[in-house]
Amino acid sequence: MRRAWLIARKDMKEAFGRRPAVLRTVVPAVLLSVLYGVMTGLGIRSAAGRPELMRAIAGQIPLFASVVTLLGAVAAVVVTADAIAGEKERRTIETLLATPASDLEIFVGKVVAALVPALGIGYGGGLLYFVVARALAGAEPLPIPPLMAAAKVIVGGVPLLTLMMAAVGVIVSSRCGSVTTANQLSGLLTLPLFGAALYAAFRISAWSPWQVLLVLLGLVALCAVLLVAGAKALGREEIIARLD
Amino acid sequence: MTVAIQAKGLTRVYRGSRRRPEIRAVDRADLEVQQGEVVGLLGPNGAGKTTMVRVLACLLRPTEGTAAVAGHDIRRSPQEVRAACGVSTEAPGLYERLTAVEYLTFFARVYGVPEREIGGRVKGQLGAAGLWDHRDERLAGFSKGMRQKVNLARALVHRPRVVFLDEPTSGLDVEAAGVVREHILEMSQDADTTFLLCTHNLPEAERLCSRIAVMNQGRIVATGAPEELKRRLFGGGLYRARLREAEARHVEAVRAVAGVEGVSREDHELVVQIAGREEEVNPRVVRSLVEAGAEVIAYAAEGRTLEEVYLRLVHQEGQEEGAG
Repeated sequence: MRRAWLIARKDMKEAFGRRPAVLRTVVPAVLLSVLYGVMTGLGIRSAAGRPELMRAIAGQIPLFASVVTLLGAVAAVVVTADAIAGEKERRTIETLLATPASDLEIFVGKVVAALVPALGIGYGGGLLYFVVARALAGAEPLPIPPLMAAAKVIVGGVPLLTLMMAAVGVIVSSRCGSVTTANQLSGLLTLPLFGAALYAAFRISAWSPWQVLLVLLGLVALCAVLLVAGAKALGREEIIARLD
Repeated sequence: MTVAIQAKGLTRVYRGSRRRPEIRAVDRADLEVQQGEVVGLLGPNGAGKTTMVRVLACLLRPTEGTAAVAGHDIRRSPQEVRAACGVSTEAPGLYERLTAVEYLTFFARVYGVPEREIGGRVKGQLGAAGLWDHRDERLAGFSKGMRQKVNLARALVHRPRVVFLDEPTSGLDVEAAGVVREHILEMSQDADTTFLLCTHNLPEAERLCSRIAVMNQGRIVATGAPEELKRRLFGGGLYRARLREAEARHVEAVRAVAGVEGVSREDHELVVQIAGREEEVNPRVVRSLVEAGAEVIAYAAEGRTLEEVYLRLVHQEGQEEGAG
């Protein structure tokens, strides 16, 4: 798997050397994190002494925190759209496929190249959200139960969902002839995943620990299936045969 | 001698669809290349050269037939074949955000070059390509000729046993093509490395290759050294005798020599086609001319060009196809 890491490092350097990719991924994450942080912080400050309102605002914390950390997954989709389709467009794919790297190593390399910056952007956004919210909440402390619920999503769900989105993105990218098509198709395919993640974030406070564990195990199984299927779907043969 | 590439009945068919007919890009191709040889794969557009290289480099699976490259079977050990080969594709894309050093280092690592050797190999390749001074520049700013040299360096950085070069000078201006050609010539001096060079450029093939294989419609229609092919296709040899005065009796005298297949007169010159061994026939030709009273000013081989060989092979094959 050393080759997978080499490919991932090379891809990260390539992707984040391009200004549009940075603008499309980092800027929305920063803006949304600050916006949600301001809303949460000012909401908590204004709800001081009003327990009903405080409960309502606190109930939104897991949702906001999930949205900002999942923005990293959106970055993953942007990066993976370029993973194979971009290399086809720039005619670099043949030299990569001519190396002794296996299909699995290339696939994992491409997924990791999307996963690492996506998690960086996601967790960076999450941290920014909490810092801004805390700074604007004034003397009021952030309520603990919603923070615990958010932690479950952020620690358990976000990495797995980001991994799934990255894997789906690379599979789509290997099947598309252009980055634009890959972007549109993977965006379409990852929308349901994003929706499901938001639903989970909204409902997670009401779930028992067993339910949470079951969902996480389901996600792990799905990720494993996607990685194996993705490596098979990558297929040098099909990519090269469609090059000309 | 070790065989570096051995293909038997290699066939590659691209499946058809409703919009596209099935294409038999490589059709029962046989090829044998010895270690250290530089073999040119010539053929018109669509002859199947690139597909042949892709199959041999394990980028595409053969539909039928077998091949071994650097001692590894392309069906059973594709990863080993890829590790032993260097591939330089036509119009290659480079990772533009990387510098020349980063680019070559990346590929050296992926090919498993030991970490302690990578620096030296990269320096050696960039030095040989005349790009060492540009080592820390991003590839995005490189000219077409520089990019092609980086591409060649990439194909060689892991010291492959077999190198496939697909149109290495395609699209380059005369000067850049010359520099790249010189670079290939230097690299091909290494007796352990085998080169298979696809090209449309016949003088380039003649200059760089010890042997050529002509492909047409997916088949390899002839293989051999350029001189051997010329002899095979155009007979023993063509010679031109320049005389002070060329007369009919001189023609008759030469025609009577054993081993002479044909003679024609062009102004002060006789064009002599011989069928036998040149070291035996040519002295007899010159002697007969002198004995017939001719004053021989010069007698030299009339060079057939590789282009003539190529055109004859391609047309011959086309006619056979038509007749079939």
